[in-house]
Amino acid sequence: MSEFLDRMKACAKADRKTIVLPEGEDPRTIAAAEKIVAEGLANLVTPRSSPSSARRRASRSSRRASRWMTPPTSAP
Amino acid sequence: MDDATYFGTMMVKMGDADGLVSGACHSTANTLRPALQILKTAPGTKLVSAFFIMCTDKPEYGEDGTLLFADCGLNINPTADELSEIAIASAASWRTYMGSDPKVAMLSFSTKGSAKGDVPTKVQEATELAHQKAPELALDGDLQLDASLVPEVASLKAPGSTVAGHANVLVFPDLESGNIGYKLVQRFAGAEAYGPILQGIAKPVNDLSRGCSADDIVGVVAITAVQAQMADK
Repeated sequence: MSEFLDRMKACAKADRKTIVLPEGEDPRTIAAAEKIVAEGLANLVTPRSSPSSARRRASRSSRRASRWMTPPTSAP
Repeated sequence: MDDATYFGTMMVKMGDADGLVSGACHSTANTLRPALQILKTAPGTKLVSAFFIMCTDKPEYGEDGTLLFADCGLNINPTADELSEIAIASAASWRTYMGSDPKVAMLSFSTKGSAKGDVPTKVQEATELAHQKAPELALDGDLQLDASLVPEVASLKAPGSTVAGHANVLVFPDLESGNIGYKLVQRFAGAEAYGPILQGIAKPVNDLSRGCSADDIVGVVAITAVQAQMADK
């Protein structure tokens, strides 16, 4: 009964379109993207994140980094 | 507010991409809002609606068991004019996905005025409006579900109808009947339900369920890509 989906996939492959997946950080989206590219169903664009959230993550990781770098002697 | 969805929608608007699929981590509203603000509705279309492709193992109904149900996801209580828009858009979507001629049944609890009520009246008006807007379209209403699908019932209740008994596109009078209807078929008949697929946006945008799997996303991307192919023609 998944004939419909098989037909959609065959049709998509025949004339490949470019589809945006904005949720490029979601693990299911990443897994799907790998399958889509492997099967040649579409060209994908996955804007990984907005500049603001990238900044937030960057500052989080630099905080982590700075904690890592703090010498044990300076710990309270 | 998610910048990536706006950015992606803008890419579609500018022609850098052909379509967008989102909603695994966002509400339907957050996927649809940028689409409606940036892409807007397709030319000649007044509203966006949502349909399901239902694949059953009942080859006697629809086209070898496959039917299109609308609107099952978006418009709560469409007016007669809106219902006619949903019907015309659904007929075009049937052509896109199935490649054959649509036969559109405008559903109600009444067949050809057999019962009185606000809903049959609305469906009759919608049928009339759809005939005016798309005279070439095989569309009939008001029709009960059995009259739409079963030739024997159709010959009794709607003799002479080109649609009754052979419908492949079912247009429900409101979202309550549409949403309940598709879930009944999905659960009791074990049908595969592909959707909600959005129609009426200028470029294809589709919303995922937040409970979706990776395979669901693959399917929606394939469906969206096919929509994009048709948009080019």
